[in-house]
Amino acid sequence: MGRDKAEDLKKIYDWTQPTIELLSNLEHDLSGLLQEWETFHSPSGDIGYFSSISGRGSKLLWAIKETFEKLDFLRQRLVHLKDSSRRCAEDVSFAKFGSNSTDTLTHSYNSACSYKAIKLRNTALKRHSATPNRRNAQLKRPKTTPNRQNTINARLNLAFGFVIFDCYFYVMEG
Amino acid sequence: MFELKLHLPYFKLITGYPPKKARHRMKSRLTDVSFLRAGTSNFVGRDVILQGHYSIVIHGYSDQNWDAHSFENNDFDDDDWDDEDSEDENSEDEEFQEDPNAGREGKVEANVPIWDAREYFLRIFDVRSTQILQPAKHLVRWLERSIDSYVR
Repeated sequence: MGRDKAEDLKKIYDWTQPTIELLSNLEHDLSGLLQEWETFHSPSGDIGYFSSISGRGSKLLWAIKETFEKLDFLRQRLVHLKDSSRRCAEDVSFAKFGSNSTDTLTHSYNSACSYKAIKLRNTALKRHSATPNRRNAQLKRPKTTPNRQNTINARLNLAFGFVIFDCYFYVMEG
Repeated sequence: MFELKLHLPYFKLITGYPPKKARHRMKSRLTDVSFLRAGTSNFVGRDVILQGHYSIVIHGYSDQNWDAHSFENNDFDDDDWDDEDSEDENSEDEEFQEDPNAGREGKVEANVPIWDAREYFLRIFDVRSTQILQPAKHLVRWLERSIDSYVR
């Protein structure tokens, strides 16, 4: 792994940590507010003091309920963002401390992290391989005694690896 | 004797915030999130999240005999940012006296009082919860855009 690439990975990794912390804090505070609302709104909650209210009051209660439902939807979006950031942190962490580039790529390809880089890498795979299924089969093929055909395949895979690898880090730099 | 209390925390994203404007007493309520800004290195100022809080207490002897006190640590000067046209707007609505408990743009007419304490509480609750929803939406959208530039 080149020095520049390692630095790029470090930058991304360093970015994910405060991002996750920020999202966690926001979600925590919003959850606290929503929990208070649920307590208020529960059958045994203080909303009972408003049970006799009608007309405009009941409409207002309904409007407040809708607002808190929207706030809960925002909380869910924060959770989704936090999960995405966590997955990326795990992938980058693996790439940063992984044993070699081929493993890193295989891991990243199979991981749940939805990197834009990985999407571009998939595009690169399709662009460079006319028979992607066959290529995948080659990647999974157990090691056998090398013959000429196997040697050529191995070189092709290695070439793919470099192409993909460069694309991967190019996106990271972007 | 009764008492109704409402406490609402809120978050507000402020982009392009001049660091020099960060008042000492506000620093503990500001979270710098400029690190999430992607591809705009020439952008002036900082991106910060302001954490605020609003409270109102209504107390009295009956539904028709009560007082309301509200508190907001809103020492952030909105006039410098997004209310540049507020003078024009105010001149158009000279007749409208806004209820300070409902905050700016609360659209609660002070000259048309709500006598029922519980209804007034719900009115302020509705207005204030809507007010915290809008900046929360803006913040989450901004976070999604910012994080999408790294992830996905």
